[in-house]
Amino acid sequence: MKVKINEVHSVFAWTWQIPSISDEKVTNDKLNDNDENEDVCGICRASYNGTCPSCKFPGDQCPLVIGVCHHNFHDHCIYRWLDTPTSKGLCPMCRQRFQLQKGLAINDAHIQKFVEIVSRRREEMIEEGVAEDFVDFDEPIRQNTDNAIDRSQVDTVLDEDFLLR
Amino acid sequence: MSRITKEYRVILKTLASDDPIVNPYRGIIRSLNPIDETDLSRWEAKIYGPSHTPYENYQFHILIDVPSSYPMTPPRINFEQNDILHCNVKSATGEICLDILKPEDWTPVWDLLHCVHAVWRLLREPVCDSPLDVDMGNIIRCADESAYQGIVKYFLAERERSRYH
Repeated sequence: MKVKINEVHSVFAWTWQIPSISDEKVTNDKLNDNDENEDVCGICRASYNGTCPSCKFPGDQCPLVIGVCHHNFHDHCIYRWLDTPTSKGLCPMCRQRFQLQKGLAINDAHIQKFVEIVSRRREEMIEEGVAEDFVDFDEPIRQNTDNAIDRSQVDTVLDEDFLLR
Repeated sequence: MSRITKEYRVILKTLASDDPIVNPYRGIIRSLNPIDETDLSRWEAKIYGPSHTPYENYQFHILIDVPSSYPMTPPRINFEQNDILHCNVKSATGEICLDILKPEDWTPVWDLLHCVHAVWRLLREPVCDSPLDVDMGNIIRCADESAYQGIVKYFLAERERSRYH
């Protein structure tokens, strides 16, 4: 039998490659094409692979960044948050100081601006005399290793018993 | 798509469901919707009074303003005027004192459902250390549970009476 190929249509799919923390591997490997089952940015609630509300095209123009605390956001979303003084330079999920993990291709281009904005927040707080509330601030960034922070621990901050004062 | 538009879709789906896993707010939030469907900056909610509190069997009307800077800044949430008597609410204006709704404690990962749920929890667990209604705060501080219950019940019975006459 002879097969003659007249035309080839290639279809590509892409996704941000996020280093997985052991137990998350299964869900990360599963390919979801439905916005509702996909991992979403906690700030804008749009898919990691989609864009933040102010962008039109996903990909390099609206990158994803990965925190030392393993919380991921669209670069634009988390930067907008850290740019507000009330953020105090903290991760919106776990309220630890937000910094990008080092040594990841997807973070590399953005590390410096996050170091700068978080130090600006810190200086503001020192000026206002409230910096001592944040013990963590003067410590060197805790090791950028995958097991630096136990995920099950950091997520409890959002448990319902912590909602009220 | 903006964050509030995404939330609206989730809220419709969540509150319409009878499945307690999809809708953990059954018996807590009766409704949460924009006042005018074409304007997602003004919302209203109805919550049920928590059981085993003097608010049981009554419903409460909440008004929500979503600023254009949302979710970087919190929504503004008030009860309807003269709708409730509670140590953390200024009854005449409906103003609510709740830490997670203050800009310095807010985080953009919370959404309108979380906020309304937190207001409901405040009915169950009044915080007399930071009262907006000092008299009600004092009654709780004196640990006079029956006086607190009696005053609230009287207020609510009067509220119903004035509504239907």
